[in-house]
Amino acid sequence: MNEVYSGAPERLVIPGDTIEEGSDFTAGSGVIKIENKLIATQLGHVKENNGTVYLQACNSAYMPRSGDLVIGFVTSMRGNLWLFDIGGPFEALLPMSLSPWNTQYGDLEEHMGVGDYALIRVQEVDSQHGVVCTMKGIGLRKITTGVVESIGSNSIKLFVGSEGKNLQKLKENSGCRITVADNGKIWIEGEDKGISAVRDVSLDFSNSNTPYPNKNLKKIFENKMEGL
Amino acid sequence: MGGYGDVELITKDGKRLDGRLADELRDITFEVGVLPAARGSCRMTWGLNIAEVAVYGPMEAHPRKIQRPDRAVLDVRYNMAPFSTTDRIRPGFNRRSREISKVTAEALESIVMVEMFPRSKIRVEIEILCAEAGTRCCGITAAAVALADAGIPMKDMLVSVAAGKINDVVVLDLDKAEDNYGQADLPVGIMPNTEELAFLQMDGDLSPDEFNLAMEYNMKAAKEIHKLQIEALKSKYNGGSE
Repeated sequence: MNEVYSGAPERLVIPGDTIEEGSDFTAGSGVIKIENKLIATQLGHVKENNGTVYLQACNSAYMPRSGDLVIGFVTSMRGNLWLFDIGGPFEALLPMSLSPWNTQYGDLEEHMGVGDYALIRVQEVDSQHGVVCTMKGIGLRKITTGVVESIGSNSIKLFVGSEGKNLQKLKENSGCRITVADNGKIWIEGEDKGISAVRDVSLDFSNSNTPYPNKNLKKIFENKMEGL
Repeated sequence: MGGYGDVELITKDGKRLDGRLADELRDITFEVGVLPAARGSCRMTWGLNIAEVAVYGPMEAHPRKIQRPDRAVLDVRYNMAPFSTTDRIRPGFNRRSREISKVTAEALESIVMVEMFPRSKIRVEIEILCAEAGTRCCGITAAAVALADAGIPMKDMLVSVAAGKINDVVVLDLDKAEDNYGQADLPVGIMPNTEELAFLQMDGDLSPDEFNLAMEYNMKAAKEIHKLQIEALKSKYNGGSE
């Protein structure tokens, strides 16, 4: 990826900082353009790609996008849909018609109740940020085994590694099936010993109050990966 | 703001009771990321004031009647701990904390890009652990840092600071005695980069010249505090990216 900012050293900016003045760059994610000034709106590192300046936010909420694979839990139910918490600003809906079961109106609890976890896919995000999910698709299911951990949506890139190398190594060494969802949740399935090994690595992310990108966290993670 | 003119709060050589000059701030420190459960947090000490702020969200707004179809709502709760002052404060919301919560929410709404999260809510919890005048300024300034730490999109940072009048002299950043026996208090919320005002309150009377001088002090102090905010945030994330 072309992520070099004008040859200048990468810099950390805070909201309100002027990144660039009087340039032809366009404003990307986390940046606004006011009177020919590019202003940072989040705490993050400045990046540039094909004339667009954007921020790699140090800490940001997960924003659902169509096609995302997410792990969520049921927070409530209506007669014909489940409402999921997927860790974003908005609850996600799973209509009865998009579930894999042939459910009758009002009988949703037979299949999934409040507190149950599921692996689902975001089908649509409308202009009002209404999130509609589906459970029809390969691998999508209610989670009944293993554990779900949170690593944060910013840390997925590091956790998975380049071309999935880190994830592959973790899978091979622990003997577990690991599903990484786009909302920063991971589902670990396997023997107790293997689950503990993966949790040992993932807990650094969930316990850290300094989310990725952060050099210390990266160092700890790399050391643990080497020690596996 | 008792306004008892006979209490000597400033000496002839221009020094205040704690030795500061008229345009000097009390000592200020920030610590970012102090509460692991919160998405963003900040602990700020300002003189003897200690405030801890936690930010949660953006999250689905409940109850649904508070949802706005075009923007997020800021749910701000300002609270003084019962042990924060020498007289024990009765726990729970009171008229003063409601007023400050509302003022804080409205001030923060002018910097937070609420239109990015329609129907959702951003929770800001301000807890004053020790109080010595200027707790609303302390809470608002710390809240801006906690919001930045939480990755909430904002147009600018926000600094709140107060100037006032004691013994007919305009001074910056009133302490407890000055607040109790002074003649006026002018807390403001300033966006340091654009120098816009997010809120302004005034208690007591100031002449136009005194008001201008107080605003000048506030603006100068806001720049100083903004530098400390930047330093605190950058020191937490100074590890750099990949």
